[in-house]
Amino acid sequence: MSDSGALQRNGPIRAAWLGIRKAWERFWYPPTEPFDIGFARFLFFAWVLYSTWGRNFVMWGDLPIELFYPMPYMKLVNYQPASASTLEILEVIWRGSLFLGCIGFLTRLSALVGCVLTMYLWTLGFGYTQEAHGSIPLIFGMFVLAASRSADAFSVDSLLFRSRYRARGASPNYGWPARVICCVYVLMFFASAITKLRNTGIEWGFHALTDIFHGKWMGASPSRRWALDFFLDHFPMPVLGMGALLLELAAPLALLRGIPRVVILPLLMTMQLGIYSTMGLDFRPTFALIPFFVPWSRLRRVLSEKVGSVYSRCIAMLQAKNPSKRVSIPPWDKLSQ
Amino acid sequence: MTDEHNAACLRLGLTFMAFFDTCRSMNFAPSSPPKAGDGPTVRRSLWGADIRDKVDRLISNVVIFAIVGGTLTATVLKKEFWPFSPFPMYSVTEDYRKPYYRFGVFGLVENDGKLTEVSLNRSELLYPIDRKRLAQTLGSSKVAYNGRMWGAHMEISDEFYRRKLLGVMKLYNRNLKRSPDHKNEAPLVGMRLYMMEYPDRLRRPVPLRGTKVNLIAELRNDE
Repeated sequence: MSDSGALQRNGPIRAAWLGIRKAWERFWYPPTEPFDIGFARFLFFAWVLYSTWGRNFVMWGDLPIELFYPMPYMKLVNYQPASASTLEILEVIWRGSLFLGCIGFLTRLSALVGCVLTMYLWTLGFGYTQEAHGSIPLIFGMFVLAASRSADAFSVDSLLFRSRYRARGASPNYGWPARVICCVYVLMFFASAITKLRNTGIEWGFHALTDIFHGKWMGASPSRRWALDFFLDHFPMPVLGMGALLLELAAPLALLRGIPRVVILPLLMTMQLGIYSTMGLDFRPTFALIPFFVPWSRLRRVLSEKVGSVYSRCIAMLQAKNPSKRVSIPPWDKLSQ
Repeated sequence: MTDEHNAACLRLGLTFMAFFDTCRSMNFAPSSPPKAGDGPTVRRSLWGADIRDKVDRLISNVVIFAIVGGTLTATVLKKEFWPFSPFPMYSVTEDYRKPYYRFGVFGLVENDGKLTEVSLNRSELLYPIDRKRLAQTLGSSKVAYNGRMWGAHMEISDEFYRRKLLGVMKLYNRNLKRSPDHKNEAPLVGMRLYMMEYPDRLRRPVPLRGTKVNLIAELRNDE
């Protein structure tokens, strides 16, 4: 076989492979400023810490072992329920790791400890009851932050260890973590919509919300019953149900910058708040993933320019009012530096 | 402990310290920024920047494949591999105009040689297992939705119910012992699990009452 023949035959395959690789790189590795991922990391851990402050894991300690029924992954890792005193210590370590992740000190280690302990503490209750899914985005988020360079800016690490955590300008290394975390957030909704369609079909949108709300009414508190009554009596439930299903299906569009993201993200958040106020399912900790959708450096630049122009106009107005008093005021870019 | 042992420990400690110091000096340059006129500086690293970048890229690709691939696989197969999930919550619902079935959990109390049933569905002595969690721990979702939503991994059997009811009874009696407000109450000597039928959910303002239609499991303390 001649070399040219092999090359000709490999040509299209190689071209396709290069095309796929290029598309993969373009999608997953957009060059991003280190400030974007650093500031998003700060907000992520701060929100997780705040929104889970009242969460009590110690109550699951020392329960009769007969009530514990491990999930499959628990059998795989030989998961053992801890005593109440151990849980108390683990809870302190967990909150400590969230705080350290927030300020960006020993960030990779803190994020990894946070990820492992979120997985352990949060799922302990599932062993006694049944699984839930609100913690999954947080576990993945922390895992991604542990595996990425999220502390090269806006962190204590970047101040202490300048050579290792040195921000080198926009780089794909800062783009992929945000991209994966955004995917985790939108996949949560998209997967949910696909499962609804496969389990019930399109009619889910027309009747499910009414069924769910009537079901929730039974065990609801008086205030929640009022909210459920209000929705059931005053809102067209099929329209709301179908809207929710379509919104979940459209969630991946939030990965596109611009109008789709600006429209879909607030709607998803509103839907989650609606679920919380009516059904009592608290998905608020997952809001921690929202900061990864925001291009913080660009926002900072735009805001700085806007504030700068307002500042210059104010100075010009002041000087026009009192032309006799010439005060030397530094220009905005020097002030902002 | 002999002096030789102490000396060996000291040598080992010093070797580790020297090793970590070497690693530190190779990885971390001085924290002061380079000054003008210093000339080009070469950053010393254990691996070198290009190899580190390649390792970083490999790790990131593995993470992307694992997280996104895992979630998509769980969605396509419609199966829970927690933490990879198809997020099946509320994908199946019950028609609110039709009768529906739920578990009724009752404890058995002995009074003057006679057994009396006490409803435990809203008992505060089961803390932290409240009404909702009590149904969940007994696999009510798996039964009600045929494993299409929560609790799909639970293998429901007589043994499953007996074990769970024993756990509930132990929890109740333990909390009873610790609670000063319930000093005069008798401990449970057994448990019964019923399937209760409720008419429908149409009459919202009226609190619905279920009727026992089927005894699913029974447990006695002396068993």
